[in-house]
Order: sequence, then C-alpha cells, then structure tokens
Amino acid sequence: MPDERVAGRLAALAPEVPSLAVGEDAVTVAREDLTALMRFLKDDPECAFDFLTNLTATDYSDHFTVVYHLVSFVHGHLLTVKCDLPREEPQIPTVMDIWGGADFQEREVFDLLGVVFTGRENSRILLHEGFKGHPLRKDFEWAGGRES
Amino acid sequence: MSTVFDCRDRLDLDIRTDRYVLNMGPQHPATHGVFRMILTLDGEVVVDVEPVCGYLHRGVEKLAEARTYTQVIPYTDRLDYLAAMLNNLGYVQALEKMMGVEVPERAEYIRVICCELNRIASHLVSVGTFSIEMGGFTGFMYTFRERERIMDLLEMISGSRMTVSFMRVGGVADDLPAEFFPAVQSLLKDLPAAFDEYDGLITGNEIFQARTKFVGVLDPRTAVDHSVSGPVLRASGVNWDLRKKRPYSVYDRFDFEVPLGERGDSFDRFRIRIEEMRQSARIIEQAVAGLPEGPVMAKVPKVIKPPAGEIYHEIEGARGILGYYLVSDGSPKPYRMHVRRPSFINLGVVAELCRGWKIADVVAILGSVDIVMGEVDC
Repeated sequence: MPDERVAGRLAALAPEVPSLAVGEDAVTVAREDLTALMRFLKDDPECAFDFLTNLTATDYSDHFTVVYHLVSFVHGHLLTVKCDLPREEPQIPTVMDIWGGADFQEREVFDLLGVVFTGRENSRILLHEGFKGHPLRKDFEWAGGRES
Repeated sequence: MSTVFDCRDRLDLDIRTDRYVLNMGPQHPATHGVFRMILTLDGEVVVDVEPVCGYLHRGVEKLAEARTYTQVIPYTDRLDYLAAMLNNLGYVQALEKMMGVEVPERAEYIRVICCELNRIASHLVSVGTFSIEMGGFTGFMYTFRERERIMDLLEMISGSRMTVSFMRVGGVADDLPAEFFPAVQSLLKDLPAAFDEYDGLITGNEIFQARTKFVGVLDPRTAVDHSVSGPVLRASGVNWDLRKKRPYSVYDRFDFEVPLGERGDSFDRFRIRIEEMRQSARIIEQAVAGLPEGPVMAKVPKVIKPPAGEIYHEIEGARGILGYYLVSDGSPKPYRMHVRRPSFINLGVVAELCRGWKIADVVAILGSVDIVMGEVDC
C-alpha cells in the first residue's frame, strides 16, 4: 500500500482522474491521465515525488505495462505507478518534462521494447540505428536462448 | 560558488568561430571503456555533447529470460564489473524479498564485509583513473596498490578477483576462510594511512585542484531532477544513501557517516569517494569484529521458483542506486528482469554538465561522474 498521506491525496484526486486505481502494490492509470497524475505526484507538497528512480516496461504478450518507480526525497516514501498499453499501439506520453531523468530511461524502453513516447524524439540508445525489431519483446526471435 | 571560473558566459559572447564537430571515442583512454561522445565545439568551448553508448550491450536482460534464477547471478557480475559483489547482492536480495527468505546473520555480516571491500576497490579504481586523467600517473599506482590487496581478499573469499558470483539466494556461497581474517586486519590497519596518502598525493595537488575545482558544477536541483544518485548526488550536497535511508541487510547496526559535498563540482565528486572509502573501512572493521557464529546459507529449495508477481529492490551500489526489477510468472526463469544501473542514469546528466566548458574539462567531468560501461550498456 502507498504511504497513508499519499493514499489520502490520491483519494482526493480520484474524481479528477477517473482511471486512477490504487492497488496493493501499485497505482494504475490510463495513459490519457498519466501526465495529469504524474504532474500531481510531483507538485503536490504531500506527495512530492521529486525523484524518478526507475522507469521500465514489460511485454505481457497481449499488452505492455510501463512501470514508474517514484521516490520522495522530502518525505522518504515510495510509489509504483503502472500504465497498460495496447500491444498494437504502444504509445504513451513522455514524462521527460516532469523528471529530466526519464530521458535515457525512456529511450532505453523505446529501444528494447518499442514503446513510443509521445511528445519527444524517440531514438535508439543501446542498439544501433539499423537494428530491426525490439529484443525485449516476447515475440522477438533470437539465437542464444536455451531450450527449456 | 565562484563565477570567475565559469566559462559558460562565453557561450553568450558575440565573438564566435565556426562550430565544428569533434568525435571523442569510442576508443579513448578517458571514456572508461568503449564510449563515444560527439562534441560540438565553438573554438575550444563545448556547445553540445551527444553521448553514444551501447558498444558493450550484451542484452543481459534478455539473456536472463532464458536462464534460471541462479544462472543469472554470474551475469550480474559483468554489469558493474568493478563492484560485482554489490551487483550480486542487489539481485539475490530482490529474490529473497520475493520468496520471503530469511538470511542467516553470519551471511548478512559476510555480505556487508564483501560489499564494502568491493566498494573500496571500486572507488580506488575511480580515484586512481581520475588521477591519471588529470595528468598524474603516480596517484594511480598508489591506489592500485591497495586495490590489489582487496582483490586478493576477494579471491580468497570467492576464488575470483572480479567476477565473484559469491552471493546466493539465502546467503553466500561459502564461509570466510581462516586466512582471510589476518589479511583483512592488516589491510584495515594500513587503509587510513593510505587514504591520507592519496589526499596528500592527489587531493592536495595544486594542478589537480586547478583542473577540477569549480569545473562541471552540478546543483542539487538538477541532480535530483535527472535521477542522479550515489557519490555524484551526494557531492552536490543531497543526503541520500540507501544504507541509511532505507537500511537493507544489517547496515542499520553499524556506525558510519554519509559524507556530503558542498559545491557539486568535479573536485567534490572525486573527494567524496575518498571520504566514502574511510567510512566503508569503518563498516568492515565493525562487521569483522561483530561477526556472529552460525550458518552462511538459509534453507532454500534447490530450484529457485519465486511466486508469480513482481518486485523492485534497490541497494546503494558503488555508483549509486542499483535497482533490480523482477517479474516472475512462477516458473524457474525470470519473465522479465530490468536493472536500474546507476552509471547509465548518471550519464544522462553529463551533457548538461559539459556545456560551456572546454574539451579538457570534459575529461574531468566524465571522470568525476565515473561511469562503468559494462553497467551503462548492460
């Protein structure tokens, strides 16, 4: 569960952000509301999530889930935010203007999973420009895997 | 903060030369591995930096999906290869959290000893190579003298100098050998004098100070905004050390301080590592003295099969916050593994720091941020 104060603030925010769901381990939100929620989490003095510690995504074969791990240096609490994306159209707004640290991490997620971050330039960061496909997708065919 | 030294103002001057692009790396002695920076220059002044990484990308995260949980441990060694113990620890702790494994006390103490030894070894490389980059070869020889002794200790413990693969889910691979104790005691006896020696040789050197002080100042606000962590963050005066803020293992039992910088310049980033080594030595001393008796492994199943679900676990690595994100589908192989590598994220702020400085300062800035390409490229 999120920290009590954060849970309280999120409950207050819920009417404005209809897709917000506070779960046991994580807060989930639809991508339309992501920017509003993230802005709130950073700017609200009770939440004050000033540090985006980790940003990654997972391919669940039928959808992608983008995960944000936030930390507040002011209060010391943590929060996990998740956002599901349809596999046919994996697009999500960038949070780079909220946390500068998202820059490299978003590029990495784009590079390895092919999730497109709208509102910014998407370019590969680890693989070379000519590389075909996104290796961390479950349907990526590769040599070097072991037979189970 | 002095503005006298800040050559950023030059970017606003009317006098300009033609801008040109200079390629630094990927084969360059000061880039700490295979790393390239595309510098846009106005005369000698850096206008823009485009970091290009990935030359060492091996796809560890993808490989992990085709390995069992235990088989992944050796891969973690090869991320930040200068601090393999810490990489091991982050990974096994994430799994232990997921499976609810209680680690025996002795194992926890051994882990702390190993990790802090490795942290010192890693900082010694950082400090030594930074000295070379600033033109002083001597400093490098002295730091590597002590590092070699730590490498010997790690070899005694694990059989390997760098790729240790020593941690296991539920404890450590083996107990400390008898010959370890006199060796570590003699090392601990010599370390404080060695740190003073580095301070005399490198920190106090006038040329070194002229090259690093006020160069590449990272203000705390930018540091936090860019998710910078570890010594680089603390050099900017932000007090955030997970060993204190969110104690894991048995770190809450030891008495140590978190050194902080004042200006956040290249000098502070260098200096803080020497101060951190002093604190790590204190931790080792306490851990060796208080080492409890008992087993070094918990009872864990032969096949590691965490319940379906996910975990994100962070520890304080040598270069900053080292996080492991694991998704399990209940099978013996990870469904997804992501590593939050501090070097990779710290690298994101380098371009910002270099703008307005001269080419030679780029070396000072990159060296003080101290990246390890094995970790950046993963």
